[in-house]
Amino acid sequence: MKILKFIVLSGITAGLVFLLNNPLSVKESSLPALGSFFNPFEGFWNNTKDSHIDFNALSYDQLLADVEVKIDERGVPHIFAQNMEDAIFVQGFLTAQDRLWQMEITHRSASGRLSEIFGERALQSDIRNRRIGNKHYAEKRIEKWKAFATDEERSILDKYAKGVNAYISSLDERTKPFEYKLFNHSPEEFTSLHSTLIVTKMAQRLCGREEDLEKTNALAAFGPDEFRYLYPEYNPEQSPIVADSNQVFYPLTDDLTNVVVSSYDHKPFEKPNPSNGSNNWAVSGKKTKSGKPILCNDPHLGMTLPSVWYEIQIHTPDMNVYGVTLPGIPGVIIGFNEDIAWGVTNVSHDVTDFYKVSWANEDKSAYNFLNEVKEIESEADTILIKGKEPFTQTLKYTELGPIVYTNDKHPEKDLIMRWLVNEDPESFELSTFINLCKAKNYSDYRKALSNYSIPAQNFVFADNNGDIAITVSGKFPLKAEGQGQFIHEEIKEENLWKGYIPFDSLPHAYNPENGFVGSANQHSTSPNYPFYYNGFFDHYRGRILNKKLSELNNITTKDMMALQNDSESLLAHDLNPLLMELIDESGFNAMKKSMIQMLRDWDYTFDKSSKAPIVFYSWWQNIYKLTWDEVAAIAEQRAVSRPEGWRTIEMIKTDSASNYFDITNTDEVENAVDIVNLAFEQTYEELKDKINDQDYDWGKHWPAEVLHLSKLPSLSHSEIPISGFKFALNAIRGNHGPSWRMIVELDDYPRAYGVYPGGQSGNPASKLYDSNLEAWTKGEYFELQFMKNAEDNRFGTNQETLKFKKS
Amino acid sequence: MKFLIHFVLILLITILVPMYSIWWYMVALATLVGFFVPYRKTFSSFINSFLFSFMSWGGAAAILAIPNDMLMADRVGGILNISGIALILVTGLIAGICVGFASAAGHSFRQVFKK
Repeated sequence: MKILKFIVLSGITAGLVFLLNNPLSVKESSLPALGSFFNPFEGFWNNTKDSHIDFNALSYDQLLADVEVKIDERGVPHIFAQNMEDAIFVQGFLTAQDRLWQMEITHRSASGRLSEIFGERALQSDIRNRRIGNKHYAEKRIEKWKAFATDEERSILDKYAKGVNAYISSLDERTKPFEYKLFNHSPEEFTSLHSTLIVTKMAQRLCGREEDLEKTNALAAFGPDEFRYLYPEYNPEQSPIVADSNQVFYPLTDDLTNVVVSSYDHKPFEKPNPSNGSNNWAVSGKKTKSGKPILCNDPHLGMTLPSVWYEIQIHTPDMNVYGVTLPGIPGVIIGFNEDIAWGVTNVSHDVTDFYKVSWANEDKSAYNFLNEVKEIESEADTILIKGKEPFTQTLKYTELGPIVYTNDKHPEKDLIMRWLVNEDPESFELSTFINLCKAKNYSDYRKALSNYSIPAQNFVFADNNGDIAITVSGKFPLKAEGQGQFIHEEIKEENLWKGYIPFDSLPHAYNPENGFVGSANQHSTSPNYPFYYNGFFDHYRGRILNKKLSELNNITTKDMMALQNDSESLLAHDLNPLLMELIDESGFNAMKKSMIQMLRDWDYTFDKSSKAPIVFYSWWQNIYKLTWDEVAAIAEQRAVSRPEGWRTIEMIKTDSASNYFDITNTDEVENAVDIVNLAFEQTYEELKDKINDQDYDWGKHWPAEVLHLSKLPSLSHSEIPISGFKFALNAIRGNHGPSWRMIVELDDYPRAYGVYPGGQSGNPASKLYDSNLEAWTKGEYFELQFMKNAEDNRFGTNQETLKFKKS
Repeated sequence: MKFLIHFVLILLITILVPMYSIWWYMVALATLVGFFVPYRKTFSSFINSFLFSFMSWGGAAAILAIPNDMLMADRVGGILNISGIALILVTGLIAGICVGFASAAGHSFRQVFKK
C-alpha cells in the first residue's frame, strides 16, 4: 500500500515535469515548454527589464574609436561616432537590442523559413518565397556587387551585421528577446545576406505586384475589344507626378488583336497588399510662411508591432542625419540632414514578366531559349516545419528567372517569372541611401539617385538653398508597347527587355513654376512619356494632393500636418453627386430618406464620427459587385483581373446602357441606374440596424488595427476608431496606413516633426513598445530631436547616455 | 524548527536551481527534501512544499511584474486569456504543484521504510 502511494506520487511528479518541459500543441497553436517559459529566473518574466547590458563593463574590438550614444525619452538613439563604420556597428547593435526578433522574422519570411517557427500555418508563404528564389537571387546579388561596389561601400553591411552579432553574443536563455521564448527558438547569427533579404522582402511588397496571369485570362475570356473597354491603361482624370507636354505623344490605342494568349488555371501566389503606397511632397519657399522649403512624407505600409520603421540619428564628422530605416538595413531610408531632406513613395510600375516554358525534353530538365537548348538549374529544397514532417520540392531556375507555376498535366503551361529584382545588379543600391545621408545639395541628390535600382521609388527632395525636386528613380525595363501585361507565349528576342530607361530620361521635376512637387503612387507621367510602362496606380490621392497644394499659400508645418491627416476623398467627389442624381427616392421610408440626406449633407471627409462614409462606401461596394457579376463568374473558374473602380464610375457616367450593368442571372435587363438603385436597397438592408445606433460611426465601422507580427491579440492594438480612407491622403485602412509621418522645415538648421504607429522597442514589456501610438492616432507629432552634437541641450537633458568603448 | 528548515531548503532550491541550471532539477531535489524533512503525514509535506515554492516563484514573478506596471504580465496573460495577476499565480502554481508532488513522493518513499 505504501509502495503504491509512492509509485503514484512519483508518477504524478514525473508526468508533471514531462508535461511542463516539452512544447505543447493546443489545436493550431503551439505553446512553449511552460516550465522554462514561466521560470521567473530564466523565462519571460526576465524580459521586463529594459536592458541587460552594462556598457561600462564592456568594450568592442570591432570599433575604431569610442562611440557615444544619447537615447532620448522616446527611445531614439542619437549616435555620435568618429567614423561611419563605427556608427553603423552601433546602429546594428542598438537596432538588434530593440528589434532583433523582428529582423529575424523579416529575413526568414523572405527566404521561406517561417514554418520552422510558426509551423504549418506559414507553409504556403514559405513555398512561394522559395519558388520565386528570394534567397538564390539575394546570394547572387551579393556576389555580383563585388564587381562594382567598393570595399568601403560593402563593408557597411558587414559592420552592421557585426553590430547585430555583438548584441546577439550578449544573449543567453535568460536575456533573449521575449518572442524567442514564446516561439521556442534562439537567435541566429546575422549576416549581410539577411540585410539583402530584408531589402528583397520590401521589394516584394513594393514592386512585386503584377496581374499578368489575371490579365491574360481576362483577355482570353473577353477578347481584345472588350478587354480594351474594360481595362483601359490610362485614366484621363489622372494628375501625374511629372506632367510634361513637350514630349512625343505615346499612343495608347495599341492593337491587341495580334496578341496570342491562352488561359491559365494556376492559382496565383498571394499578391502584395494593394494598399501599399505613400504620399510625399515638397513645397518651395515661395509658398511657405518662413520662406524656406518644407518636405513631407508618409509611407503607407502594413502597420505592425514591432513597427516597420526604426528612428535614429547618426552623427559622424562628415555627416549628421536623422530619419527612419527598416530594422536590418543600415543608414537612413527616409530622413534629413543639416542641409537636405528626402522622402520616398512607391512607383508601382509592373516590373514582372511571365514566359511560357518551352520544354526541350520529357523529363523537363532542359528548355528552349531563343535558338538554344538550355539546362534547367535545379535545386532540391526542404522546408522544415515545426511539429510536422518536412516539405520537399525542387526549385527550378532558367536564364530569365525561376519557374514558379507548374502543372503536371499541362507542362506546356509551366511559367517562368522574370522579376526585375532578380536581374543582375548594375550598382550597389544601398549606397544610394548612404549618399543621401551625406548629400548637401541638389546635385548630390541626383548623383545619389543615379545608381538606385530597386524597388523603384519617387524620391522627393528639398534643401536649404531653397531647391525642391522629385525624381522617379530606379531601374525600369525598356519594354515594347504593351509589353508585360500578358503572359508571353514564347521566349523570343522581341519580348525580352531591351535594357533600362536611362537615368536622365526618368521623369523628374526641379523647382517647377507652381512651387511644389509631390507624388502619391499615381501615374509617373502623362501619356506622352516616350517609354512604355504599365502598373498599378492611385487615382485619387495624387489628384487631391496636387489640387490642395496648388491652393495652399503661406504654408506652415501645421498646414502640412493637417494635409497628411486630411481624410477628404476624391472618390466621393467623383461618385457621390452621380449617386444623388441617379437614386430614385419615391416610396422611400424615413430611414432610407435620412441615409440619402446624410450623403447630400456630406463634405466627402471620412471622419471617424460621421455616418455618411459608411453608407457611401457600402453603397459603392455593392454597385461594384452587382456590376461585375460576369467577372466574378469567371473568377470562380480561374484567376482574373477585376476592372478598376475609376473605370466603373466612368462607365456609369458615359455608358449607362452597357451590357455589363445587366445582371446575368435575372430576367430583366438592368442598366447603370438600376444597379445604383438595387445597390442602395442592399446597402439599406445591410446597414439599417447599425445606422439607427447612435454610437455607430465610420470609426467603429472601419477601425484601424496595429497587429503584432504573430497576430496575437494581446500583443496588438485593434478597434482603434480613426478618421481616414484608403483613397484619401490619410490613407488608413484597417492594418494599413501611414507607417511614418514626417515633416521637415529646411532652414540654417532644420526643424522636423514625426510620428509612427508603434514605438522604438520591440519588447512587449517595454513602455516604448507602443508609446507613439496614441499621438499617431490623434494626428499629433513629436518634434524630432535632431541634435547638433552630443552636448546639444536644446531638447533638455533627459537623455540616457551609453558609451561603446573600443578595446 | 523543522518548518523553518523546510522553508529555507525549498526557497534555496526553487531559486538557485532554476537560476543557474535546468528548472526541473529543483523538482528532483525536492524529493530529497520531502524524504529528509520528517513530517508525520505526507499531506503536510506536500502542502508546505507547495506553499513555499508557490511563494518563491509567485513572489519572484511579482517582484519583476510590479515595477514593470504589469505590462508584461497583462500581455502574456492576454495570450492565455487570463489577467496579469492570474499569470503571477499560475507561475507560483507551476512551481507549487511540481515541488509539492515531488516532496510528497519523497516523503512517501520515507514511509515505505517506516514501521
